[in-house]
Amino acid sequence: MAESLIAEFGDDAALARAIDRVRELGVRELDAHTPYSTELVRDALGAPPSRLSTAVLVGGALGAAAAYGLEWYLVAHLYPLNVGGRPPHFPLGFVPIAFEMGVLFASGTAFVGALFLGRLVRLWAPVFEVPGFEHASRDTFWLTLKLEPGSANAGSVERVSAELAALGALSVRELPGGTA
Amino acid sequence: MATAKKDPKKSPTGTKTGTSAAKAEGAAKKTSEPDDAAARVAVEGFADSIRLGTESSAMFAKAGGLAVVCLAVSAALGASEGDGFKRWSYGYIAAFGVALAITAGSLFWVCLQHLVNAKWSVVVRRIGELFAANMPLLAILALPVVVPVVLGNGVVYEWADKTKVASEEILKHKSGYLNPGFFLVRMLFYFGFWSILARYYLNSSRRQDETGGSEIAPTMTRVSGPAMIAFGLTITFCSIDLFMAVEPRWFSTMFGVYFFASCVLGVHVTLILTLMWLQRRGRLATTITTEHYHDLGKMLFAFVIFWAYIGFSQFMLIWYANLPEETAWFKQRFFGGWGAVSWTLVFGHFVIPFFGLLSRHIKRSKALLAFWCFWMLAMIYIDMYWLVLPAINVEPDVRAMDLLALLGLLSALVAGAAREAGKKNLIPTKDPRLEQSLAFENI
Repeated sequence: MAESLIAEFGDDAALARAIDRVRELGVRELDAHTPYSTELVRDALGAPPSRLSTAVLVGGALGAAAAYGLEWYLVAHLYPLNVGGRPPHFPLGFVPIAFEMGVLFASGTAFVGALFLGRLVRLWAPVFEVPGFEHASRDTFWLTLKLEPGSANAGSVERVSAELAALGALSVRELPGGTA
Repeated sequence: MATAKKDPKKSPTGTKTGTSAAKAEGAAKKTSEPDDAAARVAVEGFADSIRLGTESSAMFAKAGGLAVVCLAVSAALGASEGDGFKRWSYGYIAAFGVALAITAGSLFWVCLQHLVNAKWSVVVRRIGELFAANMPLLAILALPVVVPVVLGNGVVYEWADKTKVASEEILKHKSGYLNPGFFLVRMLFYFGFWSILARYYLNSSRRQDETGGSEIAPTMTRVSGPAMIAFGLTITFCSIDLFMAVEPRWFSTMFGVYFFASCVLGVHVTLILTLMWLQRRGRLATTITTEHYHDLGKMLFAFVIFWAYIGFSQFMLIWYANLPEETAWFKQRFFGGWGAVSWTLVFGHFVIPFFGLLSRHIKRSKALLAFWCFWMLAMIYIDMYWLVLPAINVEPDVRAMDLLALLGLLSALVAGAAREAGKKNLIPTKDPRLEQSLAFENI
């Protein structure tokens, strides 16, 4: 069974160094919990570009297309009226509503997407059981990692724990519930 | 060469070549080792080529020659139409719009950098000052537009023709503003004011290069406030007088801002392409970095959107109000023969470059940014063509003389800027913000 560890650090630089070190040891699954967004930790974790921007683009495009379609269906298809000699279907005349709906759907996608990707709807996670973890939203920096039993480099739990302590971890604990 | 120097009275031709060669030698020495006070850069460890040197006169000769040939051939083609330069004038006015956009845009841009005390743009500013200083040249190039009006010739501007004005109520009503005498006064005021302002910025900036006086930068900032207000008013009225007045029965209160969007696009395109040319010639090679291109690209991107916003606002108000005297203008452009050009503008001037310039990666790649600059330059011209030419052509009808006029005018601007650059600095060497500009990075 995979074993998980959680370590607490006093500042972001120490956490970033620890991330680099356990990477070298071959640990693949890592995550960090910090009181604020820090560039050091973000760079060390090397997270892939967020999928949120793509989702927002798709959401916005769908919203705009749906609004344009609705306008066309009502104004040009179902009830084509002659208003001052203007053609019932003229694309530029449909722009404001399509644009507004595009913006609405894009921001809606951004809001829901951020909640979803941030897993914010869940009320409980195993790390909440770690004593002192509430400091992650105040003044300390936390690292969670999972040691795959098969990976040759990772070494034992004791080895990684010792490394983390040497790198300035304030505390290192096993995480019974896993990192998820 | 050496013999001519030793024996200057050998022959008249020998003397002549001898002196010019000696002059060129002296000039080359001066540029390779700038030892005058103006060339000393007030930043520790600065090492870069900041002067065009002899290449300035070579560029002036090349671009100036091209300008003269293009404009002459264009005018000859115009004369061969046998319509009293009527068709030619429309094409020339459209091309002149692009030249004015670039030059007035440069003046605006320089003024803006001083107004907001911008730090990132200091290394680029001299290039803007040089292009803004083309204003007197542009005033001369405006003569083919202004002179016929003053002479009462109504081939382009119907309101210049007394008999036409007398026969039409609308023109008669507008003749208090649209009349040849007042038109001339306004043109003299616009180009006079712009020329003085552009010269003021270039001369002050160069005086700073020489003396390093700490009072010069704050003074330029103080001037730029009132200057910016005056610029906003003059560019609005000038664009109305030159381009909207081609169709005197139509009016739009957004026209000035619409043209202003082209001005800002024009200056950024010009700055980016000029810097790339200079860097290929080994000038400012380390001074201008990807960060400066990135910022110029951002402004280009922003004003692609600004153009669409203004253009659409102008359209939407007219579409919604649906007043015949206003809609006729758009009817011809969207439902007449010009529909394809209008849609080319919607997509080519906004939708495609919007996505094209959106990515950070593109704005930081020289080749891609250069591509979009050329693209936008073409679009600025198509936009001007679309504004002016439907007044005479029911359907788009591009002639060689139109494109030659454009090439001639743009070459004239390049020649003017190259001549003005001369052997002087390409960056303001003693600007107090220069060090910050050199070290500038996007976050």
